[in-house]
This record gives sequence, C-alpha cells and structure tokens, in this order.
Amino acid sequence: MYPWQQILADLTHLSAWPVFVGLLITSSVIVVASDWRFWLWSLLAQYVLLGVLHMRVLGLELALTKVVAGALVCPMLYWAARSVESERAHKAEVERERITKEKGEVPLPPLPWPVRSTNWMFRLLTTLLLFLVLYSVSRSLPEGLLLVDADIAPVCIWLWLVGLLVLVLTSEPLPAGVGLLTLVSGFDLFFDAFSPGLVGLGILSAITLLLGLAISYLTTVRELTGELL
Amino acid sequence: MNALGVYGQVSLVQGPYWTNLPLRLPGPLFFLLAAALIAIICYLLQRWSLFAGLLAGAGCLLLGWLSLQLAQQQALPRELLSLFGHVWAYDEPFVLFGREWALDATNGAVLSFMFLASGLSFLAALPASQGSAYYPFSMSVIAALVFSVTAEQYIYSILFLWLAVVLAVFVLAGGRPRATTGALRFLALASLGVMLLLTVAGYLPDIELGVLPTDSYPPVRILVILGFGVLLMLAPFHGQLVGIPAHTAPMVPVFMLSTFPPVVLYVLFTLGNASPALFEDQLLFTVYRTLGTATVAIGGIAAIGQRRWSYLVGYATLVDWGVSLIALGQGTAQGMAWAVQMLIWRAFSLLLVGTGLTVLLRATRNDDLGAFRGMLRRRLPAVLALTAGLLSLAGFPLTPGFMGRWPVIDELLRGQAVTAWVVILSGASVTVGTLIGIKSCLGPPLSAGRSLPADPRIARLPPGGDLRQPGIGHATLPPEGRRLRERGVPTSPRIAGLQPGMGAHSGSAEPRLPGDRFATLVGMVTGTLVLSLVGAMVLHPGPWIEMAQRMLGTLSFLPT
Repeated sequence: MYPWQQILADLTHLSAWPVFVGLLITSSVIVVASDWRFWLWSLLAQYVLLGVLHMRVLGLELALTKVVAGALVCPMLYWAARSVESERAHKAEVERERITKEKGEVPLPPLPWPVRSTNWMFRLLTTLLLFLVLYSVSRSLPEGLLLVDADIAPVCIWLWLVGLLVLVLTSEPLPAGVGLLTLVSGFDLFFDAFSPGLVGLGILSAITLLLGLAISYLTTVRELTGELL
Repeated sequence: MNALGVYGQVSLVQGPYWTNLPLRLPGPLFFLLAAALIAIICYLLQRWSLFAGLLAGAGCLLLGWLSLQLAQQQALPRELLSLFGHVWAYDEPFVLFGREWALDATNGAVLSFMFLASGLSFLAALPASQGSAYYPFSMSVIAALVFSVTAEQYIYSILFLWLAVVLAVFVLAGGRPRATTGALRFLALASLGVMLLLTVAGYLPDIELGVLPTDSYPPVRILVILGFGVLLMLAPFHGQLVGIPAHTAPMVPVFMLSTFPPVVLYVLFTLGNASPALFEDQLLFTVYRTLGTATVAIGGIAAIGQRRWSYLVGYATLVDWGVSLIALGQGTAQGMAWAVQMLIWRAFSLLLVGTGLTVLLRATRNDDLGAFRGMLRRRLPAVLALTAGLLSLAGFPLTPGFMGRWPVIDELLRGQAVTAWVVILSGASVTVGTLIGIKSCLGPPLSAGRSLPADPRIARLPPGGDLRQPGIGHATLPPEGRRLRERGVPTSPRIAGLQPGMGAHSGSAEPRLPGDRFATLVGMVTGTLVLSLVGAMVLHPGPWIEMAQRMLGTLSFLPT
C-alpha cells in the first residue's frame, strides 16, 4: 500500500472534531472577510475538509466526487467575480477621467465590490454568538431525532447557521451565493449520512454545480448596470 | 445472429440496423428526453426567438396533449406512443439503480397541465422577447419537473424539484439586472424549503413502519409545515411571489406559477397518502389556513395602493394565491379540489395578464400606471386582456377566477365569516386597484414629442441622455457604444441600444423587443390565437375540472 493510500485509509476513521475546527475557521472567514478572494479560498478549503467527512460516510471514490464538484464551483465563481471586478474598475477609471476633465475635481475612488452592509466587527461578534447557539443546540439535541452520527451533527448545524447568517446579511449574489453554498454543503453531508446512494449523490453533485453556475450568472448579470462614483 | 448482432439480418433487408431498433422508452424518460431536446434546440435558436418560441410552444402543446391522453384514460394503454414505427414509449417505469419513475393517470394530469399551460405561455410570449434564456431554460425546468412528478420515491421528487429550482434562476433573471434580486430570493428560499423536506425523508421509513417514537412526530411535522410553507410561498415567505411578477418579464410568472405550485401540491398529496400519520393532527392545515388569510390580507392592503402595473399584478396574484392556501387549509378533499382548480384558473388569468402586459409594455416602455395613458384607444384588445386577467385574479364575478373562488367564499361564509370577509374585501381591493389602472388608460394618447414619466428606479439613466454620463452602465453598451463612450463622444441612447424612460420591464440592460416586423406580426397573431384558445377553455371547463379531480382521485388521507 502506498503511503498516500494509508493516509486516506486513516482519514476515513478520523473523528469529525479536527475537521470541525478547520470548518470553524473557513466559515468564519467567509462571514468576516471583506475580500471575495478569501471567501472563495475558504469555500475551496471547506469542500476539501468536508470531503474527509464524506469519505467516512460514502467511501473514498464517492467522496472524491463531492470534492471535485465543490472544487469546480470555486473557479466558476472566481471567473465571474474577476470579470465583474475588472469591468467595474475599467468603468470607474473612464468615469473618473471624465469627471476630472469636465469638473476639475478628482472624485473619490469607487466602493470596494461587493459591498457588505455590515462591518467586520459586527460579523465577527455575530459569528461568536452563533457558536454559542451551536454549543447550546448541540447539548440539547434529542438523541432519537438525530439522523447522523453525534460528531457529524454539529458540523452540519454549524454550516447551516453560517450559511443562513451570510444569506441574511446580504442581498448581493456573490456573498449570498457563497453563503448558500456553505448551507448546501452542510446539508449535503447530512443527506449523505442518512441516505447514502449513487442517484442521490449524483443529483446533489449536479445541484452543487448548477448552483455555482447560477450564482456566477446572477453575479455577472447584477453588475450589468449601476453607478460607481 | 450475424456479425452485426441480433438486428443485423433485418438491417440487410430493410436498411440500416438502427432504424429497426424497437427502442423501448419508458414514459417518464420519453417526456424528459423530449423536453430536454426541445431545450437544446431552443438554446441553439436563441438568436431567433420567434422560432425558438414557436418550437417550445408547439412542443409543449404536443407533449401536453400526449400526457392528457394518458390522464383521461382510466386504464393505461400498453403503448403510449409510437413514432415512425420505431420509437415506443411504454407505461413501463424507468428504473435507475433501483429507483423508479413511472407514469400514471394522476401524475399524467399534472404533467398535462404543466405542459399545456407552459406551451400557451410560450406562444403568448412571442410578441416581445422575455429574455434569451426564457425558452431553453424553461424547457430544462420542465424536464427536471417531469422527473420530480413521476418519481415513485418522495426523496427523488424533492431532489428533482430542487434541480428545477436552480434552473429556474436563469428564467427569472433572464439577463435583467433588477430581476437578480428576485431570482436570488427565490433560489435561497426554495432551496431552504427543499432542504427541510429532504430532511423529512430521513424519518419516512420509520413513520411508514410505525416505529418512530410518538414524541418525535411534532418536530417532523414542523419540518413538513415549514418546508411546504416556504415552497408554497406562505406569509412571511410571500416576498418571492410578489417579486416574480414585479421584477421579471410579463410571461415568466405564467410559466413559474403554472409549473412549480402544481408539482409542490402533488408532492404534498403523495406524501399525505404515503404517511397520513404526519397530517393526523391537522396542524399543517390550521397553519396554512391562518397564514393563507394573512397572505390574502397583505395582498389586499398592498394592491389598492400600487402605481405600477407589475406590482399590481404581483399583489393581485398574492391575493389569489392566498385564497387557494385557505382552501388547502380546510383540510378536506373538497378544499384540495378547490385549491387545484384555482391553480388552473390562475394560470388562465396570468396568461391574460401576461399577454396584455407584453403588448402594452412594448408600446409604452414603462409600467407606471400614468404611462399607459391612451392605451385604451391604441391597444384596446391588450387593455381588455389585462383588465380581464386582473379582474379574474381579483375573483370578480363572471371571470375565470370567480369560478374558483366562489365555492371557497361560500364555504367560508358558513363557518369562518371573518376569513370570508378578508377574502371578499381583498378581492374588492384588487378590483379597485385594477379600475384605477384602467382609468389611467383613458384619455388621449401621449403625443410623440412628449416624454413619458421618468421611472424613479432607473432615474440614473438620463432621459434622452448622453452616454458619457456616469449613470449609464458601460457593460450594458454594445461594442460601438463602448468605443464611442471611451472616446468621450456624446452618443444617443438609441444608438447604444437604450431607450429613454425605460421601465420595469425594459431597463437599460433588459432584453429588447424584436425589431423585426414579421416576428412581431407573427407574435401578435399567435397571441390572439392563444387568447381565443384560453377563452374557449374557460367557456368549456369540463375537461379541466375532470383533470383536477383525477389529480385528486387518490387523496385517501383526507376527510371528504
């Protein structure tokens, strides 16, 4: 057996807690950071970490499908965001030049994109509050109702809470989309744990990919018009 | 058997072997493949929206007719369809990894309604572009919904419904910046609802076996109530329902509200039949009745004060939708029948509204009530269609909507007088809102030199303005416009493909109407034919009522 095979085999027996710590960090970055690049890197890391838990539930090959689907979503969002940002920068430059020439005033630089309506401190405190909610909920979860292992349930609940928080805090397609993907990734793990099957896995992977495509589309279309300065 | 295999000998005599293959397509797979094929062709034809629309409309009507044949037959025929003697669609289920998708008379009724209503909306959409994504992605949504309706297992119904929700985002946004908010809201809320319902699937095996502990039922019931509540757009999740007519192209609501709600109701009914224990306490019906009343009240209060046609249509739809939720909340088979019948009448009402609004917005480029001045003289049939549709959504007597609403009001007056009066007053409010709108269509037409009222939501667009101004989105301009703007050349909005005073349905980046007179002419003729067809259907409602009853024929979990 190759060493990497041994590592993967060991990972399938890994408890969910180390992964949970990683997910706490990645999802917190998604909530708190202002630059979309951090969100996408965190999302990618999140899919890889979740892949480890999927391995435990589905096995190596099928878990790899999940990681690949998630990893494909990130470039979709990246190219959409990159294209919108460069288009906005170009548009802003042209308009700044025009205003400078016509009015003799140098306008302020445009707001960073995408705009987040709350500041980072508020989001950080809200994330901490969510963590307390998770702690409280996970202590009082009824045993009979849990469809998944006791160590996987907090992971799923945390991703749902973070996804919902991001969705509530913004109406911009890119951050809201990243929040929705976080929420869906948590549900994906939950679903695979209680209903493992090829058809369900295939459809959920297709939904993840289509979600990435739809969010990229909305991000691009939203920025077709709008003032910058 | 020869080297070519079992069919090789035939092929030597009659032609290539593949022409003689007795291809056996299961019914669900046939409908899915047909819808997907039309979607692909429409995508390739998206530059020629007239042909794409004709193909999508005709294809949907044909598929709807086929499924209607299925729905109207008590016993399923062995062969559903034969094309050129080679392709056979059987009533056999489609099986994939042990999961089954099957057609029967009940889901055939749902499919036929979905196909026919969508087909009519595609044809009525021809006079003006509804966005390049409208036809191909609508057909993709239908393809996903086919598998949602025909899935034998609850879990796959919900999964394919989710797939359809994600695809519907492209239809809703349709290249319109303003529509992205509504599309995102729909995507997020519908995904939440779907996830809640998928969670329920985890408990179903235990419920069906009767081994789930009694104290575990309430949380599962709450999941069901919340999940279906979100998908059925109950208050406080009603924002998506208003947003769809308010922000999208006029025909998009017809499509969305003719496809998703029937499927959601069908899934609810099949879940009820499979797991009646979930509905035993009647909590779902109580909640839906109460929140349905709230939905009606919200719509009624808001409708009377609207000054934009799109929002008026949105709130009128909300009132009508709320009444069907109240009917659903009665918790009886009769109440369900009313709710389903109202789905049918609502599709007709929205079709009338959409057709009228499509033609009128093409003429006015603005959906302010004031911008429609003179339209009664210039576009009489369109104004009449819009009025008839809105009055129908209000449940005004002698309109299709009244046929669905009156039995509900009659029932409510017997035992729930307050709810009945909320429904009546909300209908009156929509009627008054409509009359205010019609009043604005009176008077002489706006003269050619007089500008239309400015649309505050796109006030950033300078009327008749200069593209060098900062409000005009650089990205929305065609290449010539961009080059001129970058050189600082004052450019007319018309050159850049923009129109002054564009409104909710025709903002700067909105899909433009076809300039081709031939396409417009064909579209208008088709729209008139569709309206005639709708009129004929409304005058002869028998088959539709029968179809609704067939759809409800298997509701064994409800009291009569």
